[in-house]
Amino acid sequence: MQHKKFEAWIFDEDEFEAQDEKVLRQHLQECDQCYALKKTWPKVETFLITTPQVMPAPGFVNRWQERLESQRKQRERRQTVTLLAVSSGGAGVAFALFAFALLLHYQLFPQNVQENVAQVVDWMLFLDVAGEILLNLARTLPTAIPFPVWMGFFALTGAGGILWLKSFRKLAGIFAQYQGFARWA
Amino acid sequence: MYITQTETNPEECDWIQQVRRGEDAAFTPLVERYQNAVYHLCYRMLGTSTEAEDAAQETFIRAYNAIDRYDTERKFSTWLLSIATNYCIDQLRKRRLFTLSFDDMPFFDLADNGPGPEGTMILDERQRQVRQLLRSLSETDRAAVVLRYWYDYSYDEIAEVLDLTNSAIKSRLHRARLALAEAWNDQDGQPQPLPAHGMPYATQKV
Repeated sequence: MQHKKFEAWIFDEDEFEAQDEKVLRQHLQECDQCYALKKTWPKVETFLITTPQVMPAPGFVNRWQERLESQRKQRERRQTVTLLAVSSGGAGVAFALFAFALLLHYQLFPQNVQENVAQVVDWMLFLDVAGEILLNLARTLPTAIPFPVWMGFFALTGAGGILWLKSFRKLAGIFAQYQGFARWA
Repeated sequence: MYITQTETNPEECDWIQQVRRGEDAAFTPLVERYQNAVYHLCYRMLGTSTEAEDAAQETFIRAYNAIDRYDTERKFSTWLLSIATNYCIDQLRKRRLFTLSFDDMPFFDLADNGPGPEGTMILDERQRQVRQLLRSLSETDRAAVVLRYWYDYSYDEIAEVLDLTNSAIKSRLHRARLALAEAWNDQDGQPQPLPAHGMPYATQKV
C-alpha cells in the first residue's frame, strides 16, 4: 500500500506537497523498484505524448459517404426482399385458404379426409382452441358465405395488395431520389 | 496533444439539429471535423491502418444512425469517441477469440505523414514501438491510456467515455502505467527520435 503511494507520486496522480519530496527521495534510496520506475516513467510518458498523430488517408469523408450510401441501399434491398417474402407468403396462404374453401364448398373432400385434415391441423398446432376455431370456420364459412362473395373478396384483396406494393415502390423511389439529392447537395 | 475545447460547439449543435430534421448533408462537416481524432483513436486501439479506417468509418455510421439518441447536454466529441472506443474494444475482444495477434501481421500501410523516406521509416519505427507498448495493456486500459496521453482527457472525461467511475479509471491508469514502464524496459533498443519535420501535428483537443 505504501509502495503504491510512491508510484502514484511518480506518476503524478496524487497531490505532491513540498515535504513529500523528501519522503519520496528517501524511499527511492531504499527501493530499487521505485527508483527504476522514477527513471523510466518520464521517458515513457514523453515518448507517448510526442509520438505523432496518425491521419487517415485522403478522401476519408468521400469513402464514408459511399459506405453510408451502400449500407442504405443494402437496407432498402433487405426491406424489399422482406416485403416481397411477406407478400408472397400472404398470397400463398390466401391461395391455400381459397383452394381449401373451394374444395370444401363443392364437397370435393371425402368426409373422412376432412376429418383427417382437421385432426392433423389440430395435432400440428398443439393449440386446441385455435384448432377448434379453425375447424368451426372451415365448417361454417364456406357454406355461410356464397361463392361469388368469396371470389370478390379474394379479387379485391389481391388487387389491393398489388396496388399497395406498386405505390410503396414508387414512393420509396421518390424518397430515395430526394434523399440522394438533399444529402450531398 | 489537443487544444482544449470544453463544450459542444454551437455550430455543431446546429449541424446536429439539421441532421435530426432530415438534412443528412449537415453530418458531413462533423465527419470532416472529427475524422482525424476518431481515426487516430482507432489506430492506437487496433494497431493497423486498415482496421482503423474501417472502425472510424463504422463509428461515424453508428453516430449518424444514433443521432436522435445523442444528448445535447453531453459534449459531442466525448459521445463520438465513446462510440469509437466501445467499437474498438469489441473488435479487440473478437480478435482475441481468434487468438491472432495484430503484431503478427505485416504493416505496410501507414498513412503518408509528410516526411521523406528516412523520416517515414523513423516514424514507422516509432509507431511500431507504440503498438508494442500498448499491446501490453488490456483493451479498456489501452483506451484509458490513449485518451489520457493523446487526447488530454481528464479522469472524469475518460470515466464518461468508458462508462466507469473516476476511481476505477485512476486505478486502471495506475496499473497501465506500471505495465507500460515494464514493457518499455523489456523493449530492445531505445526509441527513435522524431525527424526534424515530423513533430506532432498541431491538433485540437476534441
